[in-house]
Amino acid sequence: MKKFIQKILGLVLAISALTMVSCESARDDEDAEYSSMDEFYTKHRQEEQEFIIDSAGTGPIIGKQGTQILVDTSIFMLPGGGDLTFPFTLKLIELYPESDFIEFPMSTVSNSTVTEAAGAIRVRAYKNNVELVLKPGKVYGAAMTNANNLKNTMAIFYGENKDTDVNWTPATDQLSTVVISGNTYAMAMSQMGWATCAKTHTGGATTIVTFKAKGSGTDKIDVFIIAKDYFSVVKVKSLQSIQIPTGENVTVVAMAMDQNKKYRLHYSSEIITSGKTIDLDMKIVTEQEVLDKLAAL
Amino acid sequence: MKKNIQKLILLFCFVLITQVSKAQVIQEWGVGVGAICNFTVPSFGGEVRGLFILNDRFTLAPQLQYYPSFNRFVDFYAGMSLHFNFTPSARWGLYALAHASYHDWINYYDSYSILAKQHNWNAEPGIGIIRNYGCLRPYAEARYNIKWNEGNLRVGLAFFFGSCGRKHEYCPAYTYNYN
Repeated sequence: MKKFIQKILGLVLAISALTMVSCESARDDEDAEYSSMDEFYTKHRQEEQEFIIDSAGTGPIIGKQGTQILVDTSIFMLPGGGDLTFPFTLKLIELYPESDFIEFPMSTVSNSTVTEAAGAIRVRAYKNNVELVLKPGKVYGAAMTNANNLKNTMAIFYGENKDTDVNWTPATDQLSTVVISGNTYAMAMSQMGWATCAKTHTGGATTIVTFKAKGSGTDKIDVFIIAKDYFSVVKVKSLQSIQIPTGENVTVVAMAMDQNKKYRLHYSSEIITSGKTIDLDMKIVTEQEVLDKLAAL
Repeated sequence: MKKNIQKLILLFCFVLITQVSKAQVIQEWGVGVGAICNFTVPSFGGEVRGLFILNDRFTLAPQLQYYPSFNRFVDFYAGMSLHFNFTPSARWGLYALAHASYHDWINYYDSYSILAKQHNWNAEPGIGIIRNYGCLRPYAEARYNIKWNEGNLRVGLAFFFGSCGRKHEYCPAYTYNYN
């Protein structure tokens, strides 16, 4: 009997010890390993629209979001200088709401400076898959009908010739102009590719915003700072922003995937203060929740 | 780890089915409520359970557990335990238990853990003690959650229907030790 009691006590002690030594829950594991959102962007970015122009028409080409494009064969030439004949293809990408920029991904930043933008378009023309160029001294016309921030001080900015996350540079030629016509920006552009109508944001003091996140591969987290009082999307690189005006009301969106292919999202409203650091709360969300949050910006 | 838990749950089900099929009638049954302390997290919750004594040795205990939202992890468990009573003739029954449960990790989305998901299956071994007779039977258990590496202690009180006033038949061997 005594031995039996001893065995029982031994069992009690063994299981008690096991439960007591479990001092760290497996659920405390914070070693999320982030990966990029490239698949998400590929799936959800605004598509490039194609228009085949086979004869001289009367009206503008109109994109899905209302952008109007005015072109004809006389303004284009082949890269070697040859004349263009019908038909040719025009390709158009339109980015208007902030969600369009984030889902591309794209920012409105010009040479590390915050701008106030009106959206962005990418216009390219092709003949038999050969990209056309504008003839010297020629422009094509565009109207951003659903533009944000109708302001008289806007100017044309051109983007780098790359697919995403382009840097914007103000046009320096005399041909690139923008005027407000009704509720649209009527633009003349001397360069094909990415273009926007924007102005450098002016204000007082600025600061760099730093972001922190738990886990590894945090450099893969895409962070966006979206101004609430004007149209501006800043894509943060390596968890450190460009100079952001202090006192601004912004929304911060950070997104990544983890190694389990789960979406992680941080979404918060912030007021920019000097030397601000933001801890990213990368919660697990569904793909639809990411889309809903972006649509609500 | 996932395959080991699946094997444990299968073994648990096998033993459960074997014992239930052997049991001709349920000898006694009751319901209990208890408080739980998960001291690994730590967090606090509550439980309700049924207790179906199949024979001197085996008891079946279906149970629901809930850890409310004041805890870091908000959890709901629905599971079944099988108890093996080492001392069925003594005043207090010392038992080993195996528990399998469905686990709804309600606020999994708040977690950074790569393991976080809403629907989970858990297995827990443990030991416990319960009064062997009477209509009011206090009990206490220590369990270890294999999947989450979490230990928990729980105490509760069970009410056994039709057992009030019934005297327990002591085994003389245990009577010496417990009385």
